Amino acid sequence: MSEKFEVTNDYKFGFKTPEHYHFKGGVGLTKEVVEEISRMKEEPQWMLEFRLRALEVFQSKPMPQWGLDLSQIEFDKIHYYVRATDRTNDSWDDVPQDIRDTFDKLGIPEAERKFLAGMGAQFESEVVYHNLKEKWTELGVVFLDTDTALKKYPEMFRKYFATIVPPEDNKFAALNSAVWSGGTFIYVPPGVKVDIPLQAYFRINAESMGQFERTLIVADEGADIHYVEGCTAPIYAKHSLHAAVVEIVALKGARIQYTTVQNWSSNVYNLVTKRAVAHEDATMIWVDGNLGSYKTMKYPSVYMVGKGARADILSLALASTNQEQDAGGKVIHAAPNTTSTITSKSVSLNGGRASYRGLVKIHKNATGSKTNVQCDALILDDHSISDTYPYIEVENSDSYVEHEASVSKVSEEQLFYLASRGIPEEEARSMIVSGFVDAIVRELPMEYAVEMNRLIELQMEGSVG
Amino acid sequence: MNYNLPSTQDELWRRTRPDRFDPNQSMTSSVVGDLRIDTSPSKGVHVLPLADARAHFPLLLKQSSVQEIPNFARLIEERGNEGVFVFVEPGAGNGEEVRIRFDLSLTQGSHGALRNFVVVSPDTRVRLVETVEDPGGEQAFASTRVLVGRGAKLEYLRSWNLNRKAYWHSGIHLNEGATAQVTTFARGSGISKIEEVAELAGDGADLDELFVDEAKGRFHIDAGMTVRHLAPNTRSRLKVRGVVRDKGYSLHHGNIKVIREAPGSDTYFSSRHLLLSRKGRADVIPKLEIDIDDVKAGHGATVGSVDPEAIFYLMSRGLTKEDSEGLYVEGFLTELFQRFPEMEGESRREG
Repeated sequence: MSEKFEVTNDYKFGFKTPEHYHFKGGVGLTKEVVEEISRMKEEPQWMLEFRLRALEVFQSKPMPQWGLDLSQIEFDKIHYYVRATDRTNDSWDDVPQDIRDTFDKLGIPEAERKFLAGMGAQFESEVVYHNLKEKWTELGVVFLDTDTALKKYPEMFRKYFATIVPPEDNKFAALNSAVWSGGTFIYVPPGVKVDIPLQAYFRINAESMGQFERTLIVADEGADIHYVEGCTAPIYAKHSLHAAVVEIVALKGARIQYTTVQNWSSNVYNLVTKRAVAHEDATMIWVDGNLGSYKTMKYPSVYMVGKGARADILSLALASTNQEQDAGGKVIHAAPNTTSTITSKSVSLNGGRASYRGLVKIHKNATGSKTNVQCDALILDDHSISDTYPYIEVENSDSYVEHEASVSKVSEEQLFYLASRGIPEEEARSMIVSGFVDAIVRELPMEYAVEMNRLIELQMEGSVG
Repeated sequence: MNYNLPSTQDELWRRTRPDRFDPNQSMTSSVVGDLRIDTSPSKGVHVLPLADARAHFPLLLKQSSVQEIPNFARLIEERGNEGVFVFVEPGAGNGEEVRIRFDLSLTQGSHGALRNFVVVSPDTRVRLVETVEDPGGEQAFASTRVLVGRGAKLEYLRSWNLNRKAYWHSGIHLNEGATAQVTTFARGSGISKIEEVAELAGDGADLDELFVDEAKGRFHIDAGMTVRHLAPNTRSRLKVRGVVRDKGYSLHHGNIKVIREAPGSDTYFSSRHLLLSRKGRADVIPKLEIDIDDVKAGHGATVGSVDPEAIFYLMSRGLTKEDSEGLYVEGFLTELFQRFPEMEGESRREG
């Protein structure tokens, strides 16, 4: 059991297409690079000023002193801007051949082939393919890459942009604010319910290239939307940095679900700030699956600022050899009668380290609020690590907080039972892990649930020595 | 000696600023308070002031198995000259009760640093009752080291009434098969920072701890309990019960670590807070760091108020609202009173 699971180069998605870039900025981060990015994108003056201010914040903030060790990130050796094609495409035929080849090799799930028409596929730092279903256009749904949205809807964009995650929030949010490129912008008008999940596929494909996408989703009063992002990335020798910012606004009575299946290759630093604000009676659901990456630090959060708002966070982390998954969630109750749940499942195997880090905060005025946190960890061998860091802060006596955590291993009884049914040990372990994470996986759209189970099996291969 | 004293950058000191305490001041006072030994122990059980212990048991005082002493506590230990020394000789100690009482009234308006040692020899049993009475003053510091020998049993009951800025440290080291049942009732006013480190260093060591605090007025209590499972088959149970009134603030850190060399360990941290006022605050940070698969580890935490249905029931039986709530709180603290019956009156007086 203690035998080490070898990392081989035949990682499922470990291929790369020859780099063929329209524009690739130099390495390193300077004022000139930021100005160049803004100039290339023909941005308004306020955005340039915003970026420069963010750059100053980034340079003045120290690296975080908590969580994972990030000291190996070499900010000077990263490309801060790469553009694959010089414009976004309206139809699939316009997408360059080598980029299409990559998507083919990736085996884009059926879900995406089917709804390709409504998909924003991000290749490199920008969305290269964009097509909105006619139906949604009629309903007034805006589904664009963030750069285009800034051009086409400048006022709406400015109204919400950086209001949820300001550059001053943390060092990596500042970095993103300075050099952001690409990402998704969604606006759903009042009362509109989008019944098919909107999806985007992300990839990083240039060595030492950071990806700094910026996503902004606004659901107007009573609107309903489910957004799905999934990531796979090829393996590279040098460490890559992914520092995204996701901002979500759920106005009165809106419901937003944001689902992530993260499977970055094992050299990527995944440092993402995801935050939502839920107004009166709004519901925000984060489903966050973390399978890949070298080091992940990600805590989707919900600020419940309107009475009756609700937040659900479902977090899954699977850490194998050389991986550290520091995941979790934060719920901030800042209005009366708000409710929230956090469900976290983490699995560590083959020497990996999985952590839950979370915050529950009940402010003074959040009377009648309720929250329940459940975090479970499964450790599959004697050299893997599982940590739990929950923070509970309650300033209101008329509320109720529950927190429960457990750490366990696959028991001999479970394996014995499955063995008695003729199931070999490796398969049995895989089944037990699948059962353990089921509470999260069943919240995924079916195609993703299938993919998730496949990814877990892949991770588990060779874990029985 | 210079130690890197904590700053607010340190995770354990983020909510109680270390610069509120000035350990250098504790040098200025040589009189800590009135130390009373309310007990006449049997043969082989020694209870004496630290100064006397230096003459009688110099070697024992040098021996300390506790590995992880916070720097702040180390400083207190260097400065502290007064305190008590409890030593249960091998072959002695058959469950006797030893009572010690610290009356801090002599240090009113001044500062003090206490330093205590408890050594329980292998295969002995003792019950230690420690009372700290404090009418108020500037600041007080204490560091207590406890060593429980192989197969020994310690029952340790602590009643702390802390009415000034107080830093209280205890380091508990358990050897193979040793058992410690620790019960603490803390209340008072002012700012209290409690740091406890328990090391389960021998196979089968067992720690069972109940920590109760009543935070009222502006009482600020920040209690950190670190449990390190360093040997196989060790077991720990930490229970925290907090009652918060007025502008009280009760904060509990639980830091539980199970290292790779401690398979078969079993740990659970349970924390419950009753928040009885609009301006009170309760925080819980129950951390787990687990480096091996063969463990049972978990924690549970709740923060809530009195159950309105229970109050309604009691009032329907003719009790007033205040009495009903009092009874509810008493019920909440049942386990404290079972373990430490004298505290029942204390709690009533406080509430």
